[in-house]
Amino acid sequence: MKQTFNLSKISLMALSFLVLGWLFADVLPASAQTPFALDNIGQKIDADDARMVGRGGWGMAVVDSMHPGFKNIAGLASLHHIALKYTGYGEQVKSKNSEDSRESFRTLSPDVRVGIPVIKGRLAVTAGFKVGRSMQYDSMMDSSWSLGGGTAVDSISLSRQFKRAGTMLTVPLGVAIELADGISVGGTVGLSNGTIRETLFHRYYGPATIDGDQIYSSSERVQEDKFSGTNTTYSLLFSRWDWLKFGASLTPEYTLDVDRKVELGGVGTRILSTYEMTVPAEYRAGVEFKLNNRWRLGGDAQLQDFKDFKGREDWVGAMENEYTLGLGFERLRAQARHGGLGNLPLRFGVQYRQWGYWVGENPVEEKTISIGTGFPFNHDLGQLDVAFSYSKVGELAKNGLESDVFRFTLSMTGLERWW
Amino acid sequence: MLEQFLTFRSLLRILPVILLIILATVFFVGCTSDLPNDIGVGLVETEFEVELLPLEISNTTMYSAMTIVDANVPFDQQEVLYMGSQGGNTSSILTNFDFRDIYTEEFPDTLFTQGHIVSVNMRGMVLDYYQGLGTAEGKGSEDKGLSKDFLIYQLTAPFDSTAFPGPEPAHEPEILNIISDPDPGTSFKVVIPIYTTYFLQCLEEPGLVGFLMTEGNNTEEGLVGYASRDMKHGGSTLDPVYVDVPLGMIFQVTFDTGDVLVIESVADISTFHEESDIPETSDDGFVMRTVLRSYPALRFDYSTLPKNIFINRAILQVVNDTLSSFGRLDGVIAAEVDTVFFRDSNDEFPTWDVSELEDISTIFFGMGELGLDPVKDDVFQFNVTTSVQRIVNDAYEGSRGFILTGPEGYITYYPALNPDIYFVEYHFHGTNNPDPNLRPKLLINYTTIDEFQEGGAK
Repeated sequence: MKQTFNLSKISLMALSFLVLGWLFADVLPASAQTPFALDNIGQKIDADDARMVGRGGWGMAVVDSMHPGFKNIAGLASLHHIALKYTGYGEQVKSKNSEDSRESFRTLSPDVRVGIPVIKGRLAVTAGFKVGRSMQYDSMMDSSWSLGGGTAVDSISLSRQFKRAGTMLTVPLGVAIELADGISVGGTVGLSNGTIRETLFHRYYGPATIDGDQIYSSSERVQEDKFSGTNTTYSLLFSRWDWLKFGASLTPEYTLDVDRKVELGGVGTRILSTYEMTVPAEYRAGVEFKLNNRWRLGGDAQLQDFKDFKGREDWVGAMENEYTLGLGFERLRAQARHGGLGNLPLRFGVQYRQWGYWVGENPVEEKTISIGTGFPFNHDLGQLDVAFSYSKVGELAKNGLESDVFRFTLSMTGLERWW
Repeated sequence: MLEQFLTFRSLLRILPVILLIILATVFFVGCTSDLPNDIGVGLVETEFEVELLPLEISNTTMYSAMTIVDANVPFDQQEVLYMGSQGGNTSSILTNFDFRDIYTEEFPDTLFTQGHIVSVNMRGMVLDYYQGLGTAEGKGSEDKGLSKDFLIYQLTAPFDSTAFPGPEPAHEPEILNIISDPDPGTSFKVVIPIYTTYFLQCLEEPGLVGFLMTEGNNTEEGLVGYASRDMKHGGSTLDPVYVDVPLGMIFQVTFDTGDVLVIESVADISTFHEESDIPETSDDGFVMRTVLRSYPALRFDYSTLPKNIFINRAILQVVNDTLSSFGRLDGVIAAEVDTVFFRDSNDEFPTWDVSELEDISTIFFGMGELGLDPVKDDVFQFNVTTSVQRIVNDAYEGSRGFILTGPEGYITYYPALNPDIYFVEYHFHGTNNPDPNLRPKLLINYTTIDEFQEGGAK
C-alpha cells in the first residue's frame, strides 16, 4: 500500500527543527535589544504569535479551534486537537543618541505552548513557557585620567563596559472550560522565574607592558538577581454572537522573591541578600468584529500600573503606568479555485504602548505597524504564520535615545490527533 | 525509498515551509551586532565607588634570611671557582691532582726528564664576565679585567671537600710560583708556569697532590670566577673557542716532541674562607646573595589593608644600594612563603634545600625580573598583585611573606643561569632607612564597592 505524505508530522518535525535552531540562536553572543532595556524592569515582551502580531496584537477574543491563540486561555476550550505552538522572532534594532548610533540584532523564542483537549470542544489544559520581560543590552565607553602624583603618574586609559542580560519568564499551567454555549473561562498558574545579571567591567588597557599586558588588572562587578514566584491569571471569553466576540483577563498583583548576589571579580567574598518585588496587577481585554465573510476587525488593550510596583527603590521613582492599545484587520484565508495569493490570509495593524518606566525623565512610547500572512498545512492540521513589524521606541528629544526596531516574527502551529 | 514517503505534489506543498526555514536561518543566525558603544551609557552607573585607590604599606612585622643549599649540586660540584676578595667575601681556589698512572704509550716515563719537558703550566679558564670586569670603581663599566697576582702553593695534604666553605687549609711555605696578570682583559685563561724540577719531584713518589691558588697583595679588589671541572655552561659563560678543551684547572706539560700532556684535576673547590655578614634584622638593610645563597624574606603589616577589596595592582618594591652591591646582572624572583618557614625550630634563620624552597614558596608570573644590574639598577619592582589578592581573600591559613630568590632552576617562568654560577650580592636598603622612599614597600591600587564595605550577609 502506498504511504501518503503526512504533512502534520512534517510540520512537527519542522517545528522541532526550528525550536532547536532558535534555541541555538538564542545563545549567540551578538544578541542585543534596545538600550531602553538597560534600566529598570526591562522591556515588555509580547508573547503574541505571528498571527496576532500581524494584525496589531489583538487576540484576546479569538476562538479558533483549528488555529488557536494562547493569549486568552479561555479560548482553548474549543480545541479538538492537540495544539503545539512555537513563536520566535528576529529583530534588527537601530539605536541612537545625540552623538552616536548602533545597529544590533537578536533572536528570541518568547513563546512555546501546548494545548490538550480533555473533552473535545469543552475542556482543555495547557502548558508551556513565555518570556514576559527582557533586559539585554551592553554599552561601552572609553575614557582616560591620571593616577598618582609626583614622579609616579600613570596615564590610565580604560574601557568602561556595562552589560545587562536577563529575562523574566513564566511557565503557565492552565485549564479552559466552556461553561455554556459561547461562554468560556480559563485560568493559569504561572511559575515565574528569571534572572537579571548586570556586569560593570573596567578594562585598563593603558598603561601596558612592552608585551602589551595591562599593568592594572581589570575590575568587574557582577550583580545577579534571581526571581521566583507564582502568579495566577483568570480569563473569560464571550463568543456567543457570530459578529462580536470579546474576552478579558486579570492577573492579580503578585510577589516575586528575589535572591541577590553581588560579586567583585577576584574577591573571595560575595554579598548575598534577599528582597521581594510586588508586581502590579495586569488587565487585558479584547474585542473582535466580523465585518463580512472574510474580514475581521479587532482590538486589544493591556494595562499594568507600575506606579504600584514595590521592591526596588532605585526603580520606583521612574515607574509609570504601562498600557498597550492594538488595533488591526485580518482577512481570513479562502480556498477558491485559482484564487492564488488572494486565498492567503492577510493581516495588518497598529499598536501603541507606553512603557512601565521613564527614561530621560519622560515616559517611553513605542509605536508599531505590522503586516502578516500565513500558510496552512495539509488537511488544516496546522499553520505557519509570519509577520513583519516596525516599531519606534522612544524619542531622542524626550528620552535622549530612540530605537527603530525591524522585527520578523514566525509562528508554527501544529495540530495532531494523538488519541 | 524516499519517494515512497514523499510525492512530488506533497513536496511542492511544503516548499514554502522549507523556504521560510531557510530564510529564517539565514536572516537570524547569521546576524552580528555592532560593537557596544556609548549608546545607553547615561542610563546606568559606569563607575566603581572606589577605583584604583592607592595604598602604601612599608611596615614589616617579620624578617628572615634563609640559607639555601642544593643537595643535587653540592658546594664542591659548583661550576665556578672563585678567587679574590669583595664585599667581605674572600676566597681562594683549591685543586687536587692525581699524578699516579700518568705514563702511557704516548707519554712513556722516558719522556719525563728535564731534557724532554719544555714547560709545565697550571691553567685556569676565566669566565667571560670576569674577563671584562673593570676596577672596583669602574664597576664593570670598563672592559679591562682586574689586575691580579696569582700565588701557587702545595697543600700539606690534599683537601677534604666537605670542609668548605671554610678556612684555607695548611700549605707548604714555599711559593711554587707567583705571577702577575700582565695584561688583564686580553685572555680568557690564566697560565701559571710551574718549575719542571718541582713537577718531576712530584712524580718521584706519585700520589694525590693538593694546590692552593690565592691572590697576592698587589691585586685589585674583586672576586673572579674560573671554570671548575664541573662546568656545564661553558658555551654561555666562556669564550666559545675554549669550550672544547678541559674547562677546569689543568696541568699542561709540553714536550720537545711538540706533544702536550693534559692532567685534569680530580677535585676543586672555592674556599670562601671569609663570608660577608648577613644582617640579623632588616632595619639597616638586607642582602640577597647567590652561590653562597642567602635569600631575605619579609612579612609586611597588612593591618591597613581594607577587607574585600580587589587588587588592581600590587607592587613589591625594594631599593638596591648600588654602592655596596656587586656582581653580574642577574635575576631576582619574589615568591610567597609561609611565615612559619622564616625560622627553624631553634628560632634561627633556617637552611633549606632548593627542593624544600620550591615546596614552601609560591610564584606567579610577574613576580620576577631578569637582567637586574647590582651596580646600576636601584629600584626593583615585582608584580605581587595575585599574592596580595589571596591575602585579602584569606586564602591561606597563617600568614605569608615574600622571599627574594635567585632564578632557581625550578622557576620555569624565568629561565636563567642557576644562582650557583655567578656570585652576586644585592644589598637592599632597610626597613628603617631614614629616607622612607628607600624602604621596602608594597605599592597597591585597589577597587571596591559600597556593598563590600557596608557589610551584609556573606
